[in-house]
Amino acid sequence: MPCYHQMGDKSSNLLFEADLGAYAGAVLSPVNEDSASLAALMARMRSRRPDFEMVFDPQLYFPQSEQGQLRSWPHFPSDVDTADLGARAWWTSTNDQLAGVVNGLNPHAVCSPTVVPKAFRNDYYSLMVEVGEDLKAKVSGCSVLQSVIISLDDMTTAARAQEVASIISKSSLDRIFLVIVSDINPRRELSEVEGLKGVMRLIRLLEGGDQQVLVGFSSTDMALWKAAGATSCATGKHFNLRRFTRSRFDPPTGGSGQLPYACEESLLALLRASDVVRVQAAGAFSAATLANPYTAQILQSINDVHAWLGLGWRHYLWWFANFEARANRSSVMDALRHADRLWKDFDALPLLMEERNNDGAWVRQWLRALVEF
Amino acid sequence: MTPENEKMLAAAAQAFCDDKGLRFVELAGHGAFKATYRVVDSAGKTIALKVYLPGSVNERTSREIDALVALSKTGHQSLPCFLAVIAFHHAGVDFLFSAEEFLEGGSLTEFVRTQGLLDRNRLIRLALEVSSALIEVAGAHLVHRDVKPDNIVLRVDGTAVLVDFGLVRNLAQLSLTQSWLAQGPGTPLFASPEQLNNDKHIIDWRTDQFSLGVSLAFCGFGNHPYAHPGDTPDQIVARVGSRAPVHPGFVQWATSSGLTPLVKMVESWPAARYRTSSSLQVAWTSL
Repeated sequence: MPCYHQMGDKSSNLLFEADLGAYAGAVLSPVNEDSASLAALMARMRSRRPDFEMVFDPQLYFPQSEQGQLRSWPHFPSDVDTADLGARAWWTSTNDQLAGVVNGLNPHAVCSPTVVPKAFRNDYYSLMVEVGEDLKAKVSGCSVLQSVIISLDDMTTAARAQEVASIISKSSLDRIFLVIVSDINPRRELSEVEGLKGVMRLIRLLEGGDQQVLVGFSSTDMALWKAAGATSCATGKHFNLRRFTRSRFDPPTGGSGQLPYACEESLLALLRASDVVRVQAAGAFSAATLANPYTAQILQSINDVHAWLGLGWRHYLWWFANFEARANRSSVMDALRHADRLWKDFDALPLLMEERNNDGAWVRQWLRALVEF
Repeated sequence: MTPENEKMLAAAAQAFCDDKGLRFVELAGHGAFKATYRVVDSAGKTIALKVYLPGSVNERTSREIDALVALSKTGHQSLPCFLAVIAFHHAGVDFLFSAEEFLEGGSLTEFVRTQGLLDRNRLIRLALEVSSALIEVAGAHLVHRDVKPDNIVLRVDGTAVLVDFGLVRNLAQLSLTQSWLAQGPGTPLFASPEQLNNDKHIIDWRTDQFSLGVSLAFCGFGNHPYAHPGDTPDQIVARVGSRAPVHPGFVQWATSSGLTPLVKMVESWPAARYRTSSSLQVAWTSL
């Protein structure tokens, strides 16, 4: 299944890029748009591409932190600072408000509301399944995705994926919006093997029970989720660098947040400008990079950081859609093996990347996760 | 049940029959807190008359009766037809009676004991009949929690009927099982890992699916799917509880017999079993 835009700060223009037309839909965020501007965006998109699926994510992940436009939305609870978020009645009331928003906006689908818990306990998951069922009963003309937030750390526990999947699969909802929380720093890859294996098992079990998984907020790790059988993945321009963490909504701190990167499939890595030149000189561009319409533009403006930034986002988003469409267990295994060999060759040359941590170490961990999950 | 209680319940049942114009025939069976008698009404119809031990009637009893009433309304051929629940005063004691259709064909346990293991076609028919009953049970947000060959009774025409809802759980109501118990209710040899470990948060209709899978394995394979040669029942239960893998011999038998849905039904985690009751039904129908 095709992939989805994960909408973020100032990213709505990317929906209309001709070269990013492979995206089948977008996960819409009330954090970055108020209801009027989001409705206008949706209307514009409907007129351009009637088949483009718009999924509304209420984004109550961290309700007690100030987040852009979110507090202006009717579904944002006014009592969030004092409410008992473990009470079913509170969620019922929140769903009432959310159903009103959804029935007004008329998206194709809505994610059930959820928060990032302090601890990922079974009763949290059981309650979230009830919340999803409750929302399903309240919205019409719109499908509901069961939101599931998992912690990469929690997934390292033996059989935890099976246990969580057994709770989530009690839901009658046939689509899952999966969010993976970690404490990974920007520009680093998820590489805890046991956690990755747990996430992959969870995806496999849910898909095996005919619950289609849309993995939100994903990045190059999409390769693993697709290899595990995820129906689709969503990404946004900032997810070339960032992951879903507790500090996700903080503004980018100086430095790496706004540096431009290009995505290189042959290494399954993101590259700084000088690294692009190195990899090109080594003749190691992948077929995907050569086919990427933004590659030539990047090479032409390699010394212009401002031009690069926007091109880097597009380059990454184009690759994401291109790879997602052909990613399965076998093709991901091939891509990882190829990347593993290439990083080894680069070590031997040696060919060193600009960033010390950009050494391909995660590729080996991803290979292990894929082989062992 | 003590002999004194058996005697008391029999006397009450006899008096009930005299009062209602029924003909008392015999004791059909008893559990710890109730006895079932075969009686015949004035039209000649045989009825299963249950009488509960005074003092034992509690929330569980009323949930059982509520479940039977709800399921009886479906008119499903593989669910018992519930007739009535009646309070009756006898010898200074209040008794609770319930009346259901009497199923003449005996239990699946007896059938296998006398007729031998079921062949493939009979096993598929049995799976379809009981799994379609489970669709109704699941649709009412109920979990039977004690599916086993003793609780699958045959009609005269061979149709299987799921009976004994004494451990039924209504998922829409608060659980009556304490979380601190090491093991939840159910017959251990047929119970799922989540019952054996009292993992209440993952109990749903798939718990019954597991027990049906084990029951079918007993009737077709002749053994528990998790049993190793020489295992005692306690050892088998321990294997299930620890979520050990099923025995390869069972998988080989199910595969070579063209009964692969059985392997999925007895997976140790609910997420790996059939998620919806309709998908289970489709799996058996497509064989």
